[in-house]
Amino acid sequence: MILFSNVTKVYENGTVGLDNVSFYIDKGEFVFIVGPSGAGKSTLIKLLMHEETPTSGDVIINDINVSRLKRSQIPYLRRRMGVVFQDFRLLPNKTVYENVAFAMQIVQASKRDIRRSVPNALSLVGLSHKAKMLPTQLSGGEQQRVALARAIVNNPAYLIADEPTGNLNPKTAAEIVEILDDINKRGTTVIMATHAKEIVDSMKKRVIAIEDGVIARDETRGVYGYEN
Amino acid sequence: MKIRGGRYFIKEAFRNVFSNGWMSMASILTVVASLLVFGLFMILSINVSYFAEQIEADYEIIVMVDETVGEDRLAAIGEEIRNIPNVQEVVLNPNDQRLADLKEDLGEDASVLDGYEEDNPLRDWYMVTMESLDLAEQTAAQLEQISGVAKIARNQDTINTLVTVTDSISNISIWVMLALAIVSVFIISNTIKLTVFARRKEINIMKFVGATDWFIRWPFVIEGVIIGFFGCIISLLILGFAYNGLLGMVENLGITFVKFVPLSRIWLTSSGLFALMGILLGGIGSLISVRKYLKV
Repeated sequence: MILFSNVTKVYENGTVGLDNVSFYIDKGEFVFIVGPSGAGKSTLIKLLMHEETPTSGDVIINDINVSRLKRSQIPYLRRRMGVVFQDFRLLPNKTVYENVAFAMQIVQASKRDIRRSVPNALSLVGLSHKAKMLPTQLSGGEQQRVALARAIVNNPAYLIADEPTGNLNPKTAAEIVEILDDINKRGTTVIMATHAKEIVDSMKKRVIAIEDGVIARDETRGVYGYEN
Repeated sequence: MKIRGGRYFIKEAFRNVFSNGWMSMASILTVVASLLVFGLFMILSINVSYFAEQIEADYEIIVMVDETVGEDRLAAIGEEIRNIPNVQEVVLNPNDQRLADLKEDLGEDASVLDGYEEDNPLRDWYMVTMESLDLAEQTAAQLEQISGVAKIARNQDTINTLVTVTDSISNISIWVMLALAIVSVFIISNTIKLTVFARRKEINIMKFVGATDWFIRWPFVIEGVIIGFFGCIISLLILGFAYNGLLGMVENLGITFVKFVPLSRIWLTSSGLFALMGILLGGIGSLISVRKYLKV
């Protein structure tokens, strides 16, 4: 579970990212984080990833108060989370297979585990046949699918997706969200920050809307609610 | 560090060295340049010390024994001299031997000394060499205290100048070498920083996937060590050949008054020191470079 308790984030230049935000996300949920640009979505994602720490309040993930996490413990928190970015963040000099295996090498998984898990992850995102290709030889949607495979290959409890469809056409974006839905159905909690109105409206999942750093809406089967 | 982690780090480090060929070459050349200057000062310092050692070994204090002293006391004086801590070697030059030497020096005119064998006006001398010239003054004072010693002869100015010069050169060399090491670490860290900068995206991804700081650092540190090691080998070869050439040139020119340390005597020490310097320069340089990109 994830708990934000009265979380405020004020950046060094005085910008308020989040202002006294509280919410709870249960294990296995699929949650969209929506809101206008600059509303605080990215701050929320950064706090989850421990890229930033709250100015006040607590961020609790699996009974651990990550706001008070020591620097040396951050990697172990991140290993429980898969992360997908808008810009894919793949290593251009590694093949599709190597990009996915990379996430396992980092946690020092055995070669045997890597050989077993990487093909499974690639199969889940439908890219088994492109394992030997370089990211530059793939389309945007395919690159994001590689990023998804990398995010799930270590069986994380949480998948954080920051605008994963932002650089994709509607059809490809729908495919990516379908994969995310599949991953969620296997028990992984998915938190997705997005501007994709059609996707949010069609999925009928929980929606947390943030405006000016505060929660404007938190609906169990919500809609996007903004005009793009 | 698990073994498979270790293999991964080494493999990554070598891959990085070769895939960033030009950058690695620039870093290696930086190490070579630093170590060459470092080596020049090291060789200078070693040779100055060697030169001083030779002079120290040859330098003697002459202890002139009073002519009224008998055979027993003469031997006892020799023993007292040997018991002084800084004294290395004591050789008696008896007056009859000195007279014989003098006659030999005079050659055809030696006859002027005829008849002096029976009533030798020369004093017995002890030729005293010391372990350290730094303590020469103290040793001389102790020698003068011995009963039966008429006079001692030494050249304190020469000793003082020699000690001052060798100490200054050693001190300057140490400071220059230290300054060079700091400058080298700075230059190497900047060079490696460029390779780290080129791979900041990779580091960022590693951080988000849950890599520990040391997991990220190791390949860079090993890369630095490899670069340092190659730099050390190249600079050692250049210095070795150059020094050997210098020794050969000195020998061919027939210069005998200046003796250089033979290459065989400094080869092992300098190889070890260079390897250590190269590895430390590269390793520390890398550690400094990668630090900035770990703050995610």
